[in-house]
Parts: sequence; C-alpha cells; structure tokens
Amino acid sequence: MVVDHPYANLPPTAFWKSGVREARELTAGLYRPKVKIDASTRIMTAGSCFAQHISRALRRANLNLIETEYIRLPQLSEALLNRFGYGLYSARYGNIYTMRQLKQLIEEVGGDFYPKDIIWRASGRCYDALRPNVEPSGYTLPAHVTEMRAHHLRAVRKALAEVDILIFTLGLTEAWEHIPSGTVYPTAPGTIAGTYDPTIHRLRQFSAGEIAEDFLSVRNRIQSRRPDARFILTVSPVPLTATGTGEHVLLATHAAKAKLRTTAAELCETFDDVDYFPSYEIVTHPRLGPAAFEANMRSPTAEVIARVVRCFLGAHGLPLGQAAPPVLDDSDPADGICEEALLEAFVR
Amino acid sequence: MKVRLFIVGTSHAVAVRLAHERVMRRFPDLDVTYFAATAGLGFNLSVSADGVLSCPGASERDLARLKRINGASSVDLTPATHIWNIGSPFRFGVLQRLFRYYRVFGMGPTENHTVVSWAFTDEATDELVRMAVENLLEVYGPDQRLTVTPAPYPAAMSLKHGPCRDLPGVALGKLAYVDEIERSYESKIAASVESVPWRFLPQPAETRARAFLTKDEYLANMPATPLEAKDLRHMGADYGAILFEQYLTQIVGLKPVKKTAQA
Repeated sequence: MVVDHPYANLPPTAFWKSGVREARELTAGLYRPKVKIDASTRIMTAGSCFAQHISRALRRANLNLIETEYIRLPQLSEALLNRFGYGLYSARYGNIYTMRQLKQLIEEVGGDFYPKDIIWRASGRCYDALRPNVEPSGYTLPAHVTEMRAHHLRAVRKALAEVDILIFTLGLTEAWEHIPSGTVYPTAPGTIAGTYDPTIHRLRQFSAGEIAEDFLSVRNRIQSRRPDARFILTVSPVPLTATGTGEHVLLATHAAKAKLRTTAAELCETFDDVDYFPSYEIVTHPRLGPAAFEANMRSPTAEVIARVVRCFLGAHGLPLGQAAPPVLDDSDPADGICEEALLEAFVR
Repeated sequence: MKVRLFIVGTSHAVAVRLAHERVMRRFPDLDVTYFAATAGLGFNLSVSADGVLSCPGASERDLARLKRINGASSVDLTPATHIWNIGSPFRFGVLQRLFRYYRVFGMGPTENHTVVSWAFTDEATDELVRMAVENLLEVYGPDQRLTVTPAPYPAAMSLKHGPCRDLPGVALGKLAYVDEIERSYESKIAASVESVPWRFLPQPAETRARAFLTKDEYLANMPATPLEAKDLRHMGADYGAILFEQYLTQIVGLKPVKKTAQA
C-alpha cells in the first residue's frame, strides 16, 4: 500500500490539534503502560514530594503497596502519621528528591556505603540529615539518630526484598553534598537543621548522564535480589522551591525538569523493564494552564492531582479508591456487658 | 439553693448509681437525675437548643433500649445546676493498642516491635484525647455546668485473669514507662477538658492499683461471680461512693453531714 507521507496513517494522538487542543479527554492516550500493575503486584514507592500523591492513590485503591515501616491505627489521622513520615512511602525515608539519594540509600542498606555527617543539630535536638522531616522535633541524643536509622535501614531492606515494581518520582537534579564522603542530603545544611560549612558542603548539579548511571546502579542492585523487578519513572511537575545554582529559579526549574524528563525517556526507550508515567505532562498540560496550580503557582491543585491518579489507575484497569472514613472506636467491644450493668443498676 | 445534679454517661455511671442511697445520707440536700447509654449509643446523643438530651436519628430498637434503662429516651437538662458526665473512654482502647504494638525508642527494651519516638506517641495521645473531647463537645456544647470523669481503668486482676486478659492493656501494664504514659494521657485529658471550659475530675487516687489499673476490691461483681465470667471493667458501689463524694466536695463544694453509725 502506498501512502502520501509518513504521518498519513498516524493516530489522532500524534497530532497537536486532535491529541491536545481538541482532544475530548485531556489524558486520553497519554499513558499506555508497558509495565503492568494488578492487585497482586507488590509496589514500592519513593521520590520527591509529588510521589506522595501517587502513593496515597495506590493505597486508597487497595493495591499491594509495600509498607515495612508503618503505624496500623486507623483511629489516628493521616495528617499526624504523614507528619512523622508514616503512610507516605514504603518505608519512612521521607522525600527522596534525587536519583543519587536513592542510590545512596540502597547502597547503605547493602552495607556498601556509609554516609557521613548525618547527625544535624538544631535548638539542642538531633536530626537524621538524610530524612530530617520524619521526626519533626528531632531526637534527644546523637545515638538515637543512628539507632533509629538502623531500624529504618532494616525496614528498607525488607521492602527491597519484596519489590515487584518500584515507582520513583524524579524531583531534582541539584543536591547538597558532604564533599569528603560524597554523601548527598535531601535538604541544604542549615535549613531544617545542621550548619552550612562551605569547606565541607557543596552544591552538586547532576547531569542527565549521572542520573541515568545512578538509576542503572539502583536497577542492578534491586534486580540482583529481585530479577523480575520493574520500574516506573515519573517526573514531578512541582517547580523548585529554590535553587542554589545562582540561576533564576524559573530557568533552574525548566532545566531540571528537562534533564529528568530526558533521562526518563531514554531509560524507558532502552529498557523493557522501565516505563514512564506522564504526571509531569498531565499537570503542565497547556489546556489546564495556570489553573493546574494553587495560588502559589507551585502546588498542583487537588483536582489536577485527581486527574493524574485517574489516568494512572484507569490505564491499569484499576478502580479509584476512597479515603477511609475516620474510625471513632470509643464503643466498647462488649456493649452487651455494659447494657446489662446499666439495666441492673438503673431499672429498679 | 438545692443542688440539682444530672448524671449522664455510659455504663460506668452505674458505680455512682449503686452508691446513690449511701451518698444521699451524707448529702441530703441534693436532687439527682440519672441518664445513661452504652458507649456505642452515646455517640449519637445530642443536646437540643432547648436543653434536651436525646438520641436523634436512633433506631426504634435503640430508643427502646434507652427507655428500658432510663424510663425515657430523653432528659431535659434545663433544670440542672450541675451536669456530670461519667465514663467516656477517651480513646483508651486505641492508646492501649498504640503501646501494645509499638515500642518507644530509648525507653526500654524494644524486642521485635516497631519502634516509634516518644514525640510521636505524645502527639498521637494528644490527637486521641482531642478527638474524644470534640465528640463530647458535639453532644453538650461548651456548657459550663459540665464536669467530666473518664471511665475507670480495668481491675488489676485483668493482667492475669478473666475476659480482659487478651486485651492490649495487659501489654501496656507491663511497660517500664507505663507511669509516664499515664501522666501524659491524663494531663492531656485535664488540659483539653478544662480548655472548653468544663471541669475535670479524674479517677480517685485511692482506687488505683497502679498506672491504668483499678484495685480489684472496687469491682462491681466481687467476689460472687466466678473469675472466668467476671466483668473486669465496671466498678461497684464502693468505687462509686468515693468518686461521688469527691465530686460533691471538690466540684460542687458541698460538705457532708456528720457520719452516723449506719453511714
């Protein structure tokens, strides 16, 4: 069969007009999973703050989310648990903004990397510099940081031993590093805790090549124990809060997202076990424009997050879940006994 | 002015009801009305704009239960000079589970439990107490006539015997830092209740065996019921009398008449 030109038989999604401007459903055809998820798939989640939304959606959809560091008390609010790093990801590692941070964590779990300068102080309290947000008021003693970290690493090891699919949200390309050891941190020293010392701390800007290399190291380590493990990468649509590069934050944001997106695309094209989910493209879709973000022009709105979640679950043929209603639990399991006592005393 | 006291609450109000005659002999200038519901039903209670405590939306069956217990399915609180709520559990069951399944780091052996920080358990306790107070507030509103007394803790023997032995409270009772947990829990209840502002009357000190446990002698069904059938949570008239007297002297400001040989 002879065709006029190579675009003649392409689907409507290949064209801006039909695929974007006039598409009936904004996310139609955006995500065709090559890595499939079903109810039995054991999923590990990690990544930058946007990953929390994906994680929460998977939990509400009753998927088989790996959780090895958790609190199972439905009477406590999600907000409280999240504030202490519970119920956000598979373990209590907090936000992992860079691929280097993830690589470092997995190497630490395997005993092949020993992070340095990880006890940061603020107002007389001690913080785990590699996850300073999970214990909002820190610990009393430095030893508490290391011992709690040892518990945490056991939980991460357990999660890695179970994983079928790792969903990782790439957030940043820059991170602060402890120069002598190469330890990278999720936050800058001196912000939440710690002290910034330019002689031992520096800003690292990771190239697309370095990010890809770090990912391949992560993939190798996970697949050495779980050969069939697969990976879904996403890019956070949330702009940078700040950049340490000296660039304008808008330029730094676009440069970072471009690098992350390029890396994800190339990895996805190269490996059958690596897939890409376009949360970045959905949130920054031209038809949504500024309406996709809250007034701070940074946080995606609840509505657009719901759209991302629907696209992800829908593509896998999975139902949307709902937030569990709060459990009151002041009722007595033995109300029968109570009623008996009441009747005996009151009915005279 | 005659004190018109309305005692409302759960099945734990029974202890006070059982002590009624005994207490009235020492505080004769007192008019008491009782109205109680099981804890589960208590969630649906509310006080209307004209001051009537009832259970709107309750099923016919539940209304019948209220009538059977109280002789009516509602009570008008308007004439009350004082209202005393007895027996709210203040999420004690959840607190027990928190400390049963999770061990606080740096406060003793953690065995094979998931380890949590004291800061986390402290905020969790705070949240549980706050939710319990909010539930009471939904029922009564910020009525300054109200005093709150939580349910008594289970009898000490529940650590070893009876239907309570499988409850998480057993694990709680064995923790080395149980006193600190109790102090934190009760101070949060007091602060939260008093911030409404209502008044708070805790379980009397002399009735306590140790943290989170009541002396066995105050059980409602001692010693007649066989051990395996005992209800180890509800206290009897002796407990009720002590609590009632403390309420009348400390909260209402009454003085008992001189004790007689029979009293």
